[in-house]
Amino acid sequence: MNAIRSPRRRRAVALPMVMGFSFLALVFGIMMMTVRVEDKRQNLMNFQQLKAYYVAQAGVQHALLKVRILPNEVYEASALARGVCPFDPSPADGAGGTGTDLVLTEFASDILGGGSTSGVADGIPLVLAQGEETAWNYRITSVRALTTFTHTNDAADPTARKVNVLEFQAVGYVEDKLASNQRALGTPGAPGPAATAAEKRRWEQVTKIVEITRSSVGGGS
Amino acid sequence: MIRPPCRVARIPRSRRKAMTFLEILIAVTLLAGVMIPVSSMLIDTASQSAATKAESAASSYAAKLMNQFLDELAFDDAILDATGGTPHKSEDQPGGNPVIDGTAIRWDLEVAIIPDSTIFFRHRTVRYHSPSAAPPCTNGTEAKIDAGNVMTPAFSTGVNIAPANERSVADLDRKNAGRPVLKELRLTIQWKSPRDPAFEDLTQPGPRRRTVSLITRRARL
Repeated sequence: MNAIRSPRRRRAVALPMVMGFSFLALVFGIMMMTVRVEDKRQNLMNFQQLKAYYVAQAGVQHALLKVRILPNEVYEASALARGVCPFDPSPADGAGGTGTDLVLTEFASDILGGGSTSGVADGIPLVLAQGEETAWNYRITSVRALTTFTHTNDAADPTARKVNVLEFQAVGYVEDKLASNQRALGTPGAPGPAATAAEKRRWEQVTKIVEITRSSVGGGS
Repeated sequence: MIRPPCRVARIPRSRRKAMTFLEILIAVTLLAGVMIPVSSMLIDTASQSAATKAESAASSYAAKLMNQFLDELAFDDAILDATGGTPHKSEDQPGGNPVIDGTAIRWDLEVAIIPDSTIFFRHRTVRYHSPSAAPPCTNGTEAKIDAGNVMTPAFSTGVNIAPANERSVADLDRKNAGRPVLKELRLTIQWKSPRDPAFEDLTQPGPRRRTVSLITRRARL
């Protein structure tokens, strides 16, 4: 009661209250702005990732085309990578020696597409790319032979065939607009330097496992 | 009846002068200074979340379309016909422009054929042991891999690996002579909420621009 009655205490009650409220409102506003900026960044990133994903899918299609056109060559390269005999009708579990992936890696090395701004020296350029899209590209970063054997005909399964299971990893690269913009923005009055090629790139990886089965023409040893 | 003395009357005049009015004035000014930007931020955030929702709808629809083009439709499907500069448009499809959760979407699909003569594949032939000649393979391990599970020098130095050969698809895939084997697809998607202006205005650069392009390739497999 004394506090209320005292003229000293009664002064400046509204002002601290409003200041407190304003501070809270400011904190709330800053939080909302941060969330909004983050949301926008996330959305932009989603679109960039979507672009990179489908560019990587182009790499997968390119690889599958090569596998379709050159099935024997990829089969031989896979057998060499696993150190297995390509003619063995029933390889034991764990069969194979220390092979070399020299030929298999080379098989995937020319599956490239897009521009040359990020180190892709050859390959098929993107013919429909416009503006910044001309720098988009894809490549096969890894290829592994998971299974390679020749199945000869028997009573249970009369179809003689070569079986090859491969795992491709394709990566699609697109320009990361966000990184470019952030670098270019810099500080007020002093624009930042242009983003480096590495900073401009956003990439997405696609892994594709494919089983290739071809009618067999070889015998066994 | 004796009236209780007025509280204000007990405050010395020197301390009473316009303090409350000044306090309220400052408080209201402060409150307005904080609340105006915070409320505009609130309105902005509300419209931003509507934009985010529309972007998500557009992004999901774009991914759905691309997956259809890549996995569901036949390579020779009418929609994947080379457009020769005239894109396939959503408004020409049955059902016209789709509306997903209140977001109107319009898309264009450009298709270009990658000529067979421009697609080159590098490959090698591996000269394995003769299937009918000794020594036979043991437990599926290639005969040219020695007992120490190491490739024989002859194998690894290239004696048994033919030099790299590079040929065009036109030369390698004679079965499909005259038919395209690789197409490039460019999907441009635009979206708008019911309150947005017409699609034509959304293509102009600026904050209202809501359009995204995806590029991929489809192979004849």
